[in-house]
Amino acid sequence: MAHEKEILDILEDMLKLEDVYACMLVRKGMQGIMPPAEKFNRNVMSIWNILRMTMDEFFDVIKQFSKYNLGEVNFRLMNYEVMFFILPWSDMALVAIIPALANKGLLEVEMENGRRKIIELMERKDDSP
Amino acid sequence: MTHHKLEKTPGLKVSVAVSREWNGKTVASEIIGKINVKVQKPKFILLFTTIHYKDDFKLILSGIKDAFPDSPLIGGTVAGFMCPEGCFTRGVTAFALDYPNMDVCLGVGRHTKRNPKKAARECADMIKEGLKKNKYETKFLINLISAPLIPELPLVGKVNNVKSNILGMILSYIGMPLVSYLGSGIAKESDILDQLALSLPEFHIIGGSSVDDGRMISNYQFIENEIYTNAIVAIGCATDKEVYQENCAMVHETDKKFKITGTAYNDRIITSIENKPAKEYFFENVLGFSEKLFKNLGAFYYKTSDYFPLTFEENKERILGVGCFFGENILLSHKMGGKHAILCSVRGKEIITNMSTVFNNDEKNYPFILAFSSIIHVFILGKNIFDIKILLDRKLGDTPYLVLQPMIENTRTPPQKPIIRAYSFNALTLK
Repeated sequence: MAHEKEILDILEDMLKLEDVYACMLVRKGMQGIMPPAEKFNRNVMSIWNILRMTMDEFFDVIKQFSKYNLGEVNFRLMNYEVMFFILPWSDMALVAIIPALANKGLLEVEMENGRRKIIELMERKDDSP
Repeated sequence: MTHHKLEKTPGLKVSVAVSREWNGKTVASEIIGKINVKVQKPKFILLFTTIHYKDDFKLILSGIKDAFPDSPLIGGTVAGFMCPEGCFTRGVTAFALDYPNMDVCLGVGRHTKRNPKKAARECADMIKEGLKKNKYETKFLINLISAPLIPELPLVGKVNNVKSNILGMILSYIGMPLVSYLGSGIAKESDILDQLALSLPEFHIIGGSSVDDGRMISNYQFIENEIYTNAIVAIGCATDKEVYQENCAMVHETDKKFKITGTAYNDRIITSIENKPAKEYFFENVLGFSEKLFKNLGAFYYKTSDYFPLTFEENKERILGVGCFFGENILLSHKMGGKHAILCSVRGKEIITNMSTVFNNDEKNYPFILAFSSIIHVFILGKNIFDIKILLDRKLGDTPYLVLQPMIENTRTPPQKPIIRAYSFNALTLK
């Protein structure tokens, strides 16, 4: 993917926030850009397989409804919430895993900033000769 | 929607700078560079950071003060901010102003939780002393006050949402006064503002409560190169321009009213409502749902309480929230405004709709806007806070603006009393 390094920087920036346990830009099957797993919170890694399977189910919904400009999807699993900030008209999403009682309002602002920067980078690719 | 065409105010220059870098030195360098584009010799600088930078405050402050040694500086931690560059809940921002016909001085008062009136007097005395030779009529003060901190008791640690009635009573009557001596607990902003208004009767006031990311674990205030906790920091200004202030509240009253019949800690804790235990009455008769709906009271606090602030028949400008529960007692975010309480409600759409009512006067020219608007709006709106930015961009055009997001905000237009509340938007400019 173009601008992979810059997108990785955006994701690693988000990982510096205390309540962001994992962060990635992916589509179904976890295809996309993901920081190294050792940078993710260890508690999340212990249930990673369950999280992956659940996230994949949601990506089916995202793919089906992205043509209606589906914006965000959230779900709660055990003590975690998973936030999907979907890139417009696509089946890819900026995904963050956070603790269940985290302050989502504050995190949403930074997720939105991340999404906007990623979109800006991707559009830069489209404009280049 | 009116678009304000700016007339340049001769000699008045403002810069709003943002850095999203992580390293303190790089942050300072970026902020300095951006300020310098428009304002080479600021009359004063306001500097705000989110809590993520607490290990780099010294680097950031010393960098900026080295670059602008003659520019008085105050600031502190906020949970977020909004400006033409965007909406952020992680970053550093500076507001730098230069205007030749302005005198400026700094004030600080310490131990605001232990003795709020004394802290306010100390701060006000510094401002009075600093401006005693000033020749300008109009005066205004920008302040930042340390917000509440979750109480921490010796041997017990941090206490929040206590179920036990016995421990709740101990905390209400002994614990809370004790922790204020140790620098935690309620912020007592209303005491501070009342004293400031008394000491500085001719001053317009605007400010807020310096907070972390809403966890209420730590907060910091800056004055020049120094870093404080538990302080009020302020900048007093005198100028030949007039001050213009706008403010609006973002909540609506419901028909749920109740009489507070018992209080503790100088009207900061509700112990009984309609002569019944406060928490039980509040849940069943006011909110209309059972506490058992929530797995724990922390869930109520995080998920629901932001949407149900309180106001008072006796003082409808006092809007506050439920802080936490001590047994059957309810700790409020600050001092109540009367005994006849009204449950309010707030919806995300309402916040945005109310914001569209500000800055609608065609006659106003805005050389800048400095505003304080509670971070609770971000808790409620999340990413939809960007809708407010779109509104402000449309109304203000290329006017530099900075909206800080503290815990609660304060404002005062003399000779009226100060207003201390959450869920509002308060702005100040010069004309």
